[in-house]
Amino acid sequence: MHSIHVNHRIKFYGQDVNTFTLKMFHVEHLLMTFCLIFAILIIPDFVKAENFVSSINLDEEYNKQLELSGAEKLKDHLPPEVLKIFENLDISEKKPFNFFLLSPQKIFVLIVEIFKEKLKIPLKTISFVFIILLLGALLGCFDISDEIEHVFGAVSVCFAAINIISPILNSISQVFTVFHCASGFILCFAPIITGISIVTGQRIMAVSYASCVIYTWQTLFKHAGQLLEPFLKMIIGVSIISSLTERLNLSKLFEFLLKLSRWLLIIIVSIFSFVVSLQNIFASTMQNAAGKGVKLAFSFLPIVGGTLGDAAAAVAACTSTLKSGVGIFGIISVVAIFLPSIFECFIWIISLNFCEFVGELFGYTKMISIFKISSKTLNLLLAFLIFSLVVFIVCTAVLLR
Amino acid sequence: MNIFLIAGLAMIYAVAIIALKERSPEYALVMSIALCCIIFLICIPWISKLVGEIKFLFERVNLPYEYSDIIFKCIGISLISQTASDNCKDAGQNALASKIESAGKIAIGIIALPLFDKVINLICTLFM
Repeated sequence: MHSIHVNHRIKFYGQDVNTFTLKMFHVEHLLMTFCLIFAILIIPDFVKAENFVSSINLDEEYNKQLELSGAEKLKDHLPPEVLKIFENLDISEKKPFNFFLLSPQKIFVLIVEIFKEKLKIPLKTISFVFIILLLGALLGCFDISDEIEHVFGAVSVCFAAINIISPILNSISQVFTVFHCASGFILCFAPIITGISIVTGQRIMAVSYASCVIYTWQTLFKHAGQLLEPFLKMIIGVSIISSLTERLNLSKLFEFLLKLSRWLLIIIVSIFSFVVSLQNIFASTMQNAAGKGVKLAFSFLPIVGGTLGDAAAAVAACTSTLKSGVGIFGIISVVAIFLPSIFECFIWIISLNFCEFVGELFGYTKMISIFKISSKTLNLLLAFLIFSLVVFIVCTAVLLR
Repeated sequence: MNIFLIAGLAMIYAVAIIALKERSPEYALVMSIALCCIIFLICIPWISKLVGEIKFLFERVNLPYEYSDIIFKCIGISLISQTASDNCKDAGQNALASKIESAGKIAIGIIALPLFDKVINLICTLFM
């Protein structure tokens, strides 16, 4: 390079010094740009976004989150019958959305299978009732005196009590066993879905859900076992005694008690719906405000504020998918636990009403009161089952929204 | 079952008994009892066929035998005590008739004791 003399009026290659310096500055910049481009073209390894995205396996990520949340262990609390149903329908905690891919035919076949299984004992009972009524009608043909017929009537009531009431009592005990199973599952499910909801950002809804469901189910389970089951069995027992003697007619009292219990359930459901609606309105308003507040806070950050806000929304969306999956699995599980018992109660109610009709047809009034009271008792039990199921579904559906 | 035979027999005997009653009421009563036994004997094959069919129905629905036997015995006792009571009433012995009915009720109660026992056990389990 030629030496440059600092001279206020020196000329260099026929140009002023300042002009020359400016030109050299431009040359240096050009050289640096070319070097940079050259370096970029040479380096072989550089990150491609689509490779990174394609390396992510969504199912694996979902299963990983499922395991971390503890939802994978929910199936350990399901009874074997429900696990068998899920196996047939290919539903699991990892594939809860398969439920929506089921054809109506498959669901119909499943329902028919459950019906067939639950129909055996009530059908046997109906056929037994026919035989007893036939024998009673046979005796009536011989014009037996009223007193002997009265004694024979008491014997036939005892006969009916042993062969009809025993299976009904077994069914009632089985229903409460199922209820116990469902309580165990729900008391495991509620904390898991609450935790996932808190991560999603639904803190207030999650806490209110946990308190509502856990408290309701603990209360239901406690009082069902200690109050409802003995109450129902007591009503059936006293109905047998009142059928044996005409002097002790308590059927009106039982009908009143059962009607009162049903009204009590309706009032509780109404109060519950009111409380849940208020909680939902309050919680969703607060959460919307909180969500918008977070976005506003992120937007104050320069350059990356918008990206951070979008990233937070993406994380919330991912955890929402997990929450929906676990929630749907929970709802389907509880419905599958309760469904056979609901069908059983329904079939018994229809069978007992049919027996009552046949008894009235033959004019054999002794056993009709047993059928009537047993049918109303099972009506109350069915209402209680449906109430418990609806409480859980409504609470969970509100949380999953 | 030849119902015409039974109906015809009963009508003929009824006329004969009315005719005999004025002359000899005790023979009329004996004839009445004899006819009842004859009609019973005629009906026995068909009653046993009926009982057999009902037992078969019990088997079909897998119901226990011991209780069906109790029911049939109760029906038998009811028929026998009713027949005896009616004959006593025909003879004008109402007190005797009511005692026969009472005896029939007691016999039914004793036969059905196992059933009552089972029902009481069932009710006790309900209240415990």
